[in-house]
Amino acid sequence: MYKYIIKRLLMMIPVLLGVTFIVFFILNVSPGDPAAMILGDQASAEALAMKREELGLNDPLLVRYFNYIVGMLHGDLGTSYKNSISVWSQVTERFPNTAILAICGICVALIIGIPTGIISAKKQYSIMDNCSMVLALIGVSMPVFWLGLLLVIVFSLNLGWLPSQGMGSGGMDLVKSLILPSITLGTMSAATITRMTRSSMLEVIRQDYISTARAKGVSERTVTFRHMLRNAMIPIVTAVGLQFGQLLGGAMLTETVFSWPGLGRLMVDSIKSKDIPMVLGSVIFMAVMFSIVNLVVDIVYAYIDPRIKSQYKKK
Amino acid sequence: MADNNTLLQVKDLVIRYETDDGVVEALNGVSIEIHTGKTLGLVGETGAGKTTLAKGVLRLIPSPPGKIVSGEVLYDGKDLLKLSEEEMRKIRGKHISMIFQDPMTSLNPVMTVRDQIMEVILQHNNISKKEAEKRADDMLELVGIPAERGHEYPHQFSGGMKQRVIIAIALACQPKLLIADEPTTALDVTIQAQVLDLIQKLKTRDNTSMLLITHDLGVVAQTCDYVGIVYAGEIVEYGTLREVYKDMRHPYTKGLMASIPNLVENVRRLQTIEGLMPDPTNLPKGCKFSERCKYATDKCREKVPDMVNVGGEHMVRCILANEEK
Amino acid sequence: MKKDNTKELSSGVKQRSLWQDAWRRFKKNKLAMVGLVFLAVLVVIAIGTIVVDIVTNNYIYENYVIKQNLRGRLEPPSAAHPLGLDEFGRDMLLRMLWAVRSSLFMGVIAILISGVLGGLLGAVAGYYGNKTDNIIMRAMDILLAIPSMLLAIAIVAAFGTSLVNVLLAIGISYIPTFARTVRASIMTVKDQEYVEAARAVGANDATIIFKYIIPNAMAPIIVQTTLGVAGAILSIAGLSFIGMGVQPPTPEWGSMLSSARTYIRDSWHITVIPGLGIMLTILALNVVGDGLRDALDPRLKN
Repeated sequence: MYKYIIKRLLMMIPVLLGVTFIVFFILNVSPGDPAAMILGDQASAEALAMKREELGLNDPLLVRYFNYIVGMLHGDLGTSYKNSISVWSQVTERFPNTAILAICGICVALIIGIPTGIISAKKQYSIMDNCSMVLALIGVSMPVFWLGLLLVIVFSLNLGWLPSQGMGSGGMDLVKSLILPSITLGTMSAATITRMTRSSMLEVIRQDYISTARAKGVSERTVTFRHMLRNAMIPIVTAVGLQFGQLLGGAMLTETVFSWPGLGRLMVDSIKSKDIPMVLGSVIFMAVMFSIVNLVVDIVYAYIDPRIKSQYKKK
Repeated sequence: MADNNTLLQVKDLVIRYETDDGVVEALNGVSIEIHTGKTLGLVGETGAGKTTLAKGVLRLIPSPPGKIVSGEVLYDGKDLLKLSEEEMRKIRGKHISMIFQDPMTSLNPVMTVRDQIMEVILQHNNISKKEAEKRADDMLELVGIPAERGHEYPHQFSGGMKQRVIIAIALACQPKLLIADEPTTALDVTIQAQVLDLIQKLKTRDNTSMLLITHDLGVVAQTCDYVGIVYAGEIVEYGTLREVYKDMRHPYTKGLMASIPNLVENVRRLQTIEGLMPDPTNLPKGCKFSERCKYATDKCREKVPDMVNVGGEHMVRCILANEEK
Repeated sequence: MKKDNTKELSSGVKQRSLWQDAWRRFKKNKLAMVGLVFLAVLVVIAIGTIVVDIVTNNYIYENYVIKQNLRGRLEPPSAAHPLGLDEFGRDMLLRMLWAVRSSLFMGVIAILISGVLGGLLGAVAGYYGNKTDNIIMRAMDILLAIPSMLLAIAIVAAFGTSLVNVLLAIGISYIPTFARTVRASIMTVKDQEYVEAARAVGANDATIIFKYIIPNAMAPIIVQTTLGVAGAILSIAGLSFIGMGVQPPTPEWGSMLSSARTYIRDSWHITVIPGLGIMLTILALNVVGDGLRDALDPRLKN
């Protein structure tokens, strides 16, 4: 098992370098002079040149990338063009807020998606199955931000039950402020996971080993959970991992709708003010998070699927 | 017909599958009988309804689309079709076990083989986990797999080994009846004999009855006491091994036999039965075999012939059964 | 007896070509047919509004679709304006109709970009295998490790919110999906026994490619394209919503929602209607995509 984890970790390094390079490249070949942005239009040519030198903009791109990575490893993602705040401190300050939201979102998705998927598959073509499939179809088709706005209209503006904006500080306020954004963020994933769970359960239901299990005389409950679900989990886990990426994208939209002080909003605001280091820092941070989630998914995967586990035991 | 020795008696079992393409008439009134300690071989082409019968006895027909329409399955005098699901579960694995066709897919890939054997033991015996583990290991040894390999997963075993594990699962609770659905079809020829021998050995040890489903007439000759020939969801010929093999009456049985290569005579070309099995969503009205039978008359096409006793326990579903001799 | 066996037997009788067969199965799927009709209507609307613009020399567009009329702001739906008026007093129905083309055509073009690029990369990787495959697919893994919305945002952030940039951003972020789909189907088809059998009886490369590989790889690509267009439309709407896609006053569902947000307390119809437009379009595409998948590959049908 350790070998597997180490191998996965090593494989993550080139991916992370690639990811950071792509993002760095895209955001550094963009038109516009950062020096001019920091110093304003009135700055003299000399001051601009000095600023450029100071920012290291005269170095070749690869050198700048290398310096950026070295900095990143020391917790330095540069400083904001806008207000000279350290990007690292901003990003790490905002990140927990996005993390809470994403975790709650994925919880909503799992709590709704997996049981619904199981029941749908077990009672294929029943009314319940048809209803949940229609709902799931609507769920995957609904734009995240629109769902957010609808929830705000109903639950905040009309019923007045829940706050429509911002993040409550601690306790009940936090929980209350989390409900609508989590549902908004989790719905599409819930729908995807429902569909995925159903189809992968249906795949498993027809397998011969399910007949074997039934022929043993074990209860339907045992057949469902011990035999079907454990096998169906393998593709479901992969789907959940991929959903996390969707979720991070969705977080940006959800955070915009609910004015949630997370990384996504920081990114959107920074793009609007053309604060490239801030954008770069937050995108890279998110991409790294996504890679780590995928690593965790791979490890869980190996834990569920003995075919992977034993492959590494022998060696 | 049933006497003290009868362990399982299936009477007029009718099973259908309701699919998008129409109603598949898989089993059309099949009656069989298995005596304690004896083996009944069911022979027929792919799609004749053999597996449906086997699964029907254990009530493992997936529903929907499958449906047991009518009939009785008497096990020890009780009609299994009338039992509750709960009661039926006590029969499965303990009284009647089943070995499935394809060992490659019949084991749960995410459970160790020991856990899979233990599962059936724990289900039907009130014993501790430790004891069950020991019994599972004994079973493994009995089927010729070292107990140390119990913690391994199915993908670490070869096809023949997997089938041994499946046999261990099926026989772990010493069932009275073993249903083996083409237990050797998916295996290499050399392994086939080993597995058959193993089944025979264990069956004799526990005096287990067996329903052996196969399309291999050679296997039947080796292992069975009784033979039933299945065609399009009906038994067309039934009797003791000797009766059927020495004195086959149904044209289909004859055709089947003729399609086996004969070592004694020098045959250039194997005989085949002309035509295909009828579409089970659209079966002929009369004798199901009439379309392919060279002796068929208009009478055959009108009405399904009854089973005719031609002496001893030998029954044939053909109007010409008694004429031909 | 297994059900499959009987099916094989009966299907042997009714031999049809793959596509006819698929279409027959697709037609049976009522939901998918409704989706298809809806999409056809959208295409007609998109083309219709373009024709109207050309014929009237943008008169309707300039005077009704984008021209502000502050007197009737946020007026709820009425007989004169079935969908009401928006925050600048413009007719919502007209704006909805004129918005169809941005979403539809942008979605399709973005997916064409990724379909062609991703398809080529995947085909090369799948066909040549070994090192080429390794390099291309590792690059795809890297691209896939960036959530597509993030990648799109980074591109738009760097190069600005022009139409071309948005299309490129969305297009690039879908490349890995297509590369994987195409590669996977080519890899599976390439080593199929029937392809080997065809080779064994002397079929040349061209026959194998056109008769076996392309038809068999087509099904997943078509399905992926349909679902991809749905995803691209959602992404474009999302980008527009955060102000990084189509810019006002050009009517686009995402940006209409973005400006409606400010008036969410005063008026619900300007929020509900554009979202409904997006949802129904995506729903139709998803339903058609699912229907296509079931029709093209009956084995996958549950």
